[in-house]
Amino acid sequence: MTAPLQHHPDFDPNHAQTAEADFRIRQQHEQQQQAGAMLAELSGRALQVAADASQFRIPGAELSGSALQGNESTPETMTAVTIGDRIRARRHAFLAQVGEGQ
Amino acid sequence: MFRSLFSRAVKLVVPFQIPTLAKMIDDESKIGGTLFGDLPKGVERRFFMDDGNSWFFSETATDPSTRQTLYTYTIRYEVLPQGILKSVDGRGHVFIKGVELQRLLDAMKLYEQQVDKQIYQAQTAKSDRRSAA
Repeated sequence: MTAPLQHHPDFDPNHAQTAEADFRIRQQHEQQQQAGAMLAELSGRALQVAADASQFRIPGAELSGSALQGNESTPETMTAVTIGDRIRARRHAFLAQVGEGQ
Repeated sequence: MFRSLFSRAVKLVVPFQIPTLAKMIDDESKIGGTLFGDLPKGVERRFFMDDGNSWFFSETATDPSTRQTLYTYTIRYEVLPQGILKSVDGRGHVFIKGVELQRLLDAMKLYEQQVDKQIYQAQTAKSDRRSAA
């Protein structure tokens, strides 16, 4: 049976702590880079808000919408969907007209 | 006078920037933030629809003297077939009803009107002028 690392004669607790800290910083950095890459195309506070909020989703909430497509929609939902569709159509029509930038 | 000449020169040199979807949504969110009345100094409010089926209301208060954030929160309203699901900072998911639902629908309608008027009609007029010139 191997001895626990801290009982090894060459074990240097300071070095281990530094290595662990390095690992944590590297891990944190990688996570930030991943998040940064996701947000690279997005600009502005609004999409930052949307991105932050989307981190807190109920697992499967996206599915619940499509899974319940057959269910009767409420009049309020229908109104909200109609408004949303019109706004999206306006945005995309405008961007198509001017040619969307990078 | 120098400043005026400088800004004229900048206008000539800096090309017209073609908007992106992200930029359009960001501009919309600023207009959306004005729909709920005046704000105290240091408070920034945004209200907008993403390109999916969610609406966001966010508020951030900053101490003007220290520039430190005092509070920030985001309410997400997700339009689902069975209703509008609300969460605050990702917690407390609940389908809204009554006054809140009615006010949200009113805000959506107002948002559509104002965004259309202040961004899309104005921009379309600008592009028309630009292509006519």
